[in-house]
Amino acid sequence: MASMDLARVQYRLGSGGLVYALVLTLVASAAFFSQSNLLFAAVGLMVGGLVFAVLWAWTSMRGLRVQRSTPAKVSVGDTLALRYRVDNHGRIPAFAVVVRERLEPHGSPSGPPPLGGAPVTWALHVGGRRGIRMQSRCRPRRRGVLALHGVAVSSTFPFGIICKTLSFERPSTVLVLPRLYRLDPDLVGRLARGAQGNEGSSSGVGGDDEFYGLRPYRSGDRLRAIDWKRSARGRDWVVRERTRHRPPHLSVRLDLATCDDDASEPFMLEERAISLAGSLLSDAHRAGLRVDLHIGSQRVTAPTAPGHAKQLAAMLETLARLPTSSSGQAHKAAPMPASAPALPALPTARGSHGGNEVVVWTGPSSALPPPRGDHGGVVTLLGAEDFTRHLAATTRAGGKP
Amino acid sequence: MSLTTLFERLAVAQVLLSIAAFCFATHNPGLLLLAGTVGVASWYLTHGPRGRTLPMRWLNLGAAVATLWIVWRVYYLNANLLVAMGHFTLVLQLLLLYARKSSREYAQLLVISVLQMVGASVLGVSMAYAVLLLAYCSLGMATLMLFHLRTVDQRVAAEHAAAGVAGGGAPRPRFNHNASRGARRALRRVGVSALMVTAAVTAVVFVGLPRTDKARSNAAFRNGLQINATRSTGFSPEVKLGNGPLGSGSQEPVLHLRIHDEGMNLGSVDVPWLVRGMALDDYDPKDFLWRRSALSHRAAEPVPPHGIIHRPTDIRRGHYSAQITVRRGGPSVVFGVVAHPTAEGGPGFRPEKIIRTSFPQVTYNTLDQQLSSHATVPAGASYQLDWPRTTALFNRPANDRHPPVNPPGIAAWARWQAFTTQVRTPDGVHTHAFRNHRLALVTPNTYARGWTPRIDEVRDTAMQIIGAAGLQRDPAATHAPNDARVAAVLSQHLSSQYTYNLNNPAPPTGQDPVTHFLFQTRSGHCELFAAGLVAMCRSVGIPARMIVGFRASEYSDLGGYYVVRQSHAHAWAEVDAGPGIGWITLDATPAAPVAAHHAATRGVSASVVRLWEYLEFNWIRKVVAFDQRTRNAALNTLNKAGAWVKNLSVQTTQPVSAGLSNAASRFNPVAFAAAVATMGIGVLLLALLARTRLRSHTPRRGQDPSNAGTTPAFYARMQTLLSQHGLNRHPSQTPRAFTQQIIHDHPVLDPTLPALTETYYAVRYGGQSLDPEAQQAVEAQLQALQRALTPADAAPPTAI
Repeated sequence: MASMDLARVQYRLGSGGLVYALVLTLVASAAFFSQSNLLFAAVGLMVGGLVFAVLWAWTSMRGLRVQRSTPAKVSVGDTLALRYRVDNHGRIPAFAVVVRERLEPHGSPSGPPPLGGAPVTWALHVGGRRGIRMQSRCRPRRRGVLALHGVAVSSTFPFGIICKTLSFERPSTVLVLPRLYRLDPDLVGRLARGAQGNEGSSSGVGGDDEFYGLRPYRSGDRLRAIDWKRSARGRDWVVRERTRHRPPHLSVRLDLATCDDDASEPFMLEERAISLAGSLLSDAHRAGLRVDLHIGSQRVTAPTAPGHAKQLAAMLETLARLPTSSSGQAHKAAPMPASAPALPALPTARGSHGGNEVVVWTGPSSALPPPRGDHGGVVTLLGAEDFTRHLAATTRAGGKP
Repeated sequence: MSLTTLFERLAVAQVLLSIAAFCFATHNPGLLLLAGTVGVASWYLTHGPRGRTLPMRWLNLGAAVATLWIVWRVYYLNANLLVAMGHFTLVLQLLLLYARKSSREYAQLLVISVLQMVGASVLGVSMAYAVLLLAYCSLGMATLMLFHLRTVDQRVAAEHAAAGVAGGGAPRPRFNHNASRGARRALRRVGVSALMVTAAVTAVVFVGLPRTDKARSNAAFRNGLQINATRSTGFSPEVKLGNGPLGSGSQEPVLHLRIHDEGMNLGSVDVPWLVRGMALDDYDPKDFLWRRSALSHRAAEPVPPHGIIHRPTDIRRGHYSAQITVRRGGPSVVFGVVAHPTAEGGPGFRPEKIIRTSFPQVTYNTLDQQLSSHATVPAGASYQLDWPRTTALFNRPANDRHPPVNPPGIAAWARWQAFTTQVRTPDGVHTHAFRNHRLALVTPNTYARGWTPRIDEVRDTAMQIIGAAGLQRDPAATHAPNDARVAAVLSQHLSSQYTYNLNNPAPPTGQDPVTHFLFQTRSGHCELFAAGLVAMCRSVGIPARMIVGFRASEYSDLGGYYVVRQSHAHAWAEVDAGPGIGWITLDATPAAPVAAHHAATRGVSASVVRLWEYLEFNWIRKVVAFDQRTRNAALNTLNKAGAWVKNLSVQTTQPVSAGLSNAASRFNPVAFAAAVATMGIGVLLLALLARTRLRSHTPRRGQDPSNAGTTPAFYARMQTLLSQHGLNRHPSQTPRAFTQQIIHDHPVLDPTLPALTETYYAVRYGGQSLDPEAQQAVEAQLQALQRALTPADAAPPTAI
């Protein structure tokens, strides 16, 4: 939560100011035209309203301060809730307080803007020496780093004539993860079975699963592992070893280098490929697989451990910050990671780590036959062009991803 | 009630108020009944349980028909523009009331409503309309505030929809939810503040804006006031006889008359004045119509801008001054004032000066002394008329501040006329002699002479009457020395031998109503008396004409003015008494029955009506008739007040400065220390008071300011009670978890504490409000909680 200091106060004609001025001109013209004193009184009344609006704009909102809290991450399409705390340190209440985020103009030449519109919310009343909490919602439309530059608090109360705006400058960022889809369970299950079958043995020594064998005691072994009966028969202590479960490993390789620059919607294809990779990582991790991410030929993170989402989050963050070739040189708010390698072209990509490998690229899924990896594993090719057929049925039908 | 419902009700009420104000301003109760019924029904038909709105195509069709209707009325029926526009806007408002209304429709409705009030403000002058206008403005301010809030709400919702989060729910607060009590209270305070500020600014703007004399001559404005010309006010520029009973007329005030004599207000119920309207010199025996002849228009001359018609009277004799406020607009007749004549007649109308700004272009007719405005006299017009005071000629005491019970007779008037004709003529000012010269140029001896119907019978009758009085008159002579006396005898004969009757039947078809009155019925109303006197005077060769106007006899002690009503319409005659005397006033109508007919009603209700009329008179005189002259007077008053304040400050500061210099010369350390100590104590007390007030408005230290304004009072009390026993909620705990924890440790609080907590949730987050029964229940629960927390035979619960 960041506290923001008052930076600038602006006054301008409100939306109703023009209408008010027109009606005032009309009534004043009628008064001077007809010399009707009641109309002169009406002119005075409207001028009084104008004076009151100016006085109110001048005196109110003087002690208004805003604090904003933002979540660290949000996915594309999810609701981003920005919470504000508006404290009125003055004695004069404020009405119709509109809190609006100030965003930088969308600088990317392609693709949708980061948000459909500036997040905005309003409060009917902020009492003198009181405070309220407010919340605005928005849905990010593209991944990357969403830069929030400040908050504008405005009010056109009481008649919409004068708009007073307080601008609070305090940049903040929200990392927008790629949109994650629920993939077809068959696809994830097939990948999981393939990985399982390809690895052959998914067990090793050192776990807590089934009995594996006996060995002499070594310093550092747990006391619970000592086989007391056998140790009592012999002179040395014997330790029971148990197998350790090794979940199947799935390697996801994202290949954006093969994106055709002449494609009609390269931005969309790349984003879909990134979303597909992220969704695959997420679903495979949820299915209990160890996953790791390769961008081109370089592995970005170590394989995840079952039940630990930290590495998965790091992979998704990498995907979120990944620049796309079709969006110019780089995403303005998300510079190219220093470790990002040059992306190799298919079909040179092969699994080299043992385990199954999934290559996600911007082309169609059926463009190339499934190659066999160097390690004997299966390389599955998923394309962004027909990625919808990999989605879950509910997602394809328009349901919530 | 949600703010949405409140706004919708206020908007509809504002529209209905503007419709009512327009109908009130145009004096159209039938339209008020119809439009009011249709307007009120719209609420139930569109907002009721089975409410349905009109399809948009019907509304468009209605608006198109209304547009064609106004074009047809204005261009083909020559209807006045303001009233036609008012009817048009009224129809549009009624159509929109039945429409499905979004913010755009409400904005249209409110703007059209303002336009309707603009038109009605030009037409309406009464104080009742002013009350409606004030109510409209107050209501409009509240409506505008709520409309603004609604607009903000909808704009934010639209931005949310554009941002693709419409399904995620709009941000709080929703406009259609109940506003909190604090917000409503604060809104009311702001509304009252806005009213006070706008009232002050309105007063400043109203006085400060300059007025111009040019506007009243605008043709469109004149057309806008034609509504008043078509309404019967009891006064008409033409008189048609033979229509039977005249009727008593309504009690609606027409004008107010305040008469001054050298600054003193004159007035009495016993002494009426005649408010001179139109001079009718031409009688059409075919239509029985009295009207003004074309000959009269030739002598009309514009009155100079400074308003001087004649040379002002010698300052030693002074002049009367009448302040006339026309309550309703009317034709271009500018009313004058003459004293009610005695039996021998009274002086004619001889204005000296007219001060007016409501109708800048005034003409004075030297032939029939008719004052006319260039345009229709607007409603609320106020002007001052001066004419010479002849009291000094008949030795009126200098300290006599009562009205002239016996106005100057013809002899005194003749002496006065002789006096004024001897006065030298200054440049640009017409004297009597100069006027007579011009009159001879433009007027032949046929003016106001001649009588056709049954001339011989009328002349014989008149000659018999004047012969019985020992007088003679040669009908062929242009003027005779005793013409005034002859006319007075004829007038006295009519008033004594004829009967005043408002319900006289119409004469047989084809029979002249004047001769029918003179020879058959011998009874009739004032118009027949005046016409009969004119007929007899003309038959014997004396020029005579009928004057129609009002007889002002209802004097208001409360306001010091005469109230002239429609029922006070009157007619009398003016007779040319010859050179040296001029036109004199004769009222042949019996005075007693007319006075009885014009007598003011008594009683409580009449007193209330008079009080209302007094307020309305002041309203019209000081607000509606506010003009450049009044403005200058008001500004002068303000300047004087400023000068007075300045003098007062000077007079106050001088002794203080002198005292200070004396004190400095005689410095007393003890007194100085005592003064400083007193001031210090005072400042300390003030600081303590301010601190106490400040603390009462400041959240306590550690208290969350966001909760300070939203936590219900009962829950704050509950927290205080628990805190007094060491039960404090951790910031990470929800109220429900806090309650469950307390109940776990102190089951004795079980039924009370959860109930209070659930009530808190319902109020704080459910948007519910506590009705009186719920408040009582909460109070009982709080007391039960207090008892449970402090049992007599148990130790207090320990802290958590």
